Amino acid sequence: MLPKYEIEEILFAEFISVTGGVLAGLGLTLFIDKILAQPGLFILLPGLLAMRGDISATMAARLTAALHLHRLKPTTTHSKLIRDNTIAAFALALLDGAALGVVAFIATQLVFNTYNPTIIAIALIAALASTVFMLPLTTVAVFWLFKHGFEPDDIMGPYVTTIGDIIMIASIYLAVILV
Amino acid sequence: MIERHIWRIIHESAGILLIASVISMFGGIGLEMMRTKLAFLVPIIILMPALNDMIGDFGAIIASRFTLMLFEKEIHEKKWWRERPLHHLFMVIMGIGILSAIYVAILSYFIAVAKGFPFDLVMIQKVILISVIATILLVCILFAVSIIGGFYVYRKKHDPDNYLIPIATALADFGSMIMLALLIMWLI
Repeated sequence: MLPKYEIEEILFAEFISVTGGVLAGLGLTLFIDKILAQPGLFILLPGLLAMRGDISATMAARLTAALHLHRLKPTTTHSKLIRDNTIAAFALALLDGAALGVVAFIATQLVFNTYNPTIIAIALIAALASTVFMLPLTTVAVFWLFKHGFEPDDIMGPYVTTIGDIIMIASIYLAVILV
Repeated sequence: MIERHIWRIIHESAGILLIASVISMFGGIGLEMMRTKLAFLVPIIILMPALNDMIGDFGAIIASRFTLMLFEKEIHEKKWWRERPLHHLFMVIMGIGILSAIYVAILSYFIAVAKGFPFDLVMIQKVILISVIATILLVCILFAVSIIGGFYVYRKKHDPDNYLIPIATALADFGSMIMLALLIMWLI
């Protein structure tokens, strides 16, 4: 059975998380005309939004495990392990962004009979731009939480999805403007 | 040359990451079909990432809690539907889900009104209905997948966490978008 305090924790985390999601949605409405002008962008959207959790939350979990196992010192964020994780996360973002772009391009062509190769560039730029902001934020947050006696595993999930949504929407906006 | 540690992270994560992302995108095809309707539905656009987040969070919670119950032998495959911890988890998630769905629908609607979207009592009811129906259906689907998949993986002596969490979150991403598209088509 879930104890009362855990139910309250889930409820509180969920309200914070969905409020952040609404802010991200508000961001979407600010450039809805640009989204509608890009065929295939709605296909890309769920994949890009899922990416922040898949890459940043996984990195947060790896760093937390390394802190618990004393493979990382909580006093410094300069270490080979963090550098390796950051490089790997960038590579994964690039790979995922490219795959999402290509699949969105093919789906737009096959399902909607619209040729829009720009969607691949949008996916790549948005994936990379969001990763540039998300990885330092994730690393700093994990270290701060750990140093202050919190369990990053419990907090980083809702934090990454909430902040990640807002950063990803801003990154898509940036990508749409750039292309 | 790529160092071994970096290569290991990429190698272990790339496959499941690509599969999860591509599954999520199938939901986007449903949205793309609704693009002309969506242009006029500002509250739904605001609601979309929040609903996606919420269902994804529930997917991870249901999968991890169900796995823990299996390991702690709180539930058994025979007559699992009679197990009280499972009933309790279902009621808690469903309760929090419905509350969050109503909250997020009202919040989205009023933000849309503040941005100039016309206030309409029928429309706000439809937005709340879309949010609540999508949440109820998806929570039920997530439970079904976790129970069926969880027992299957557990019988094979694997850790259900490693399979259920990626499947549940990908299903939640895909399902929330498809459900949203279907409900828009049906109700609006």
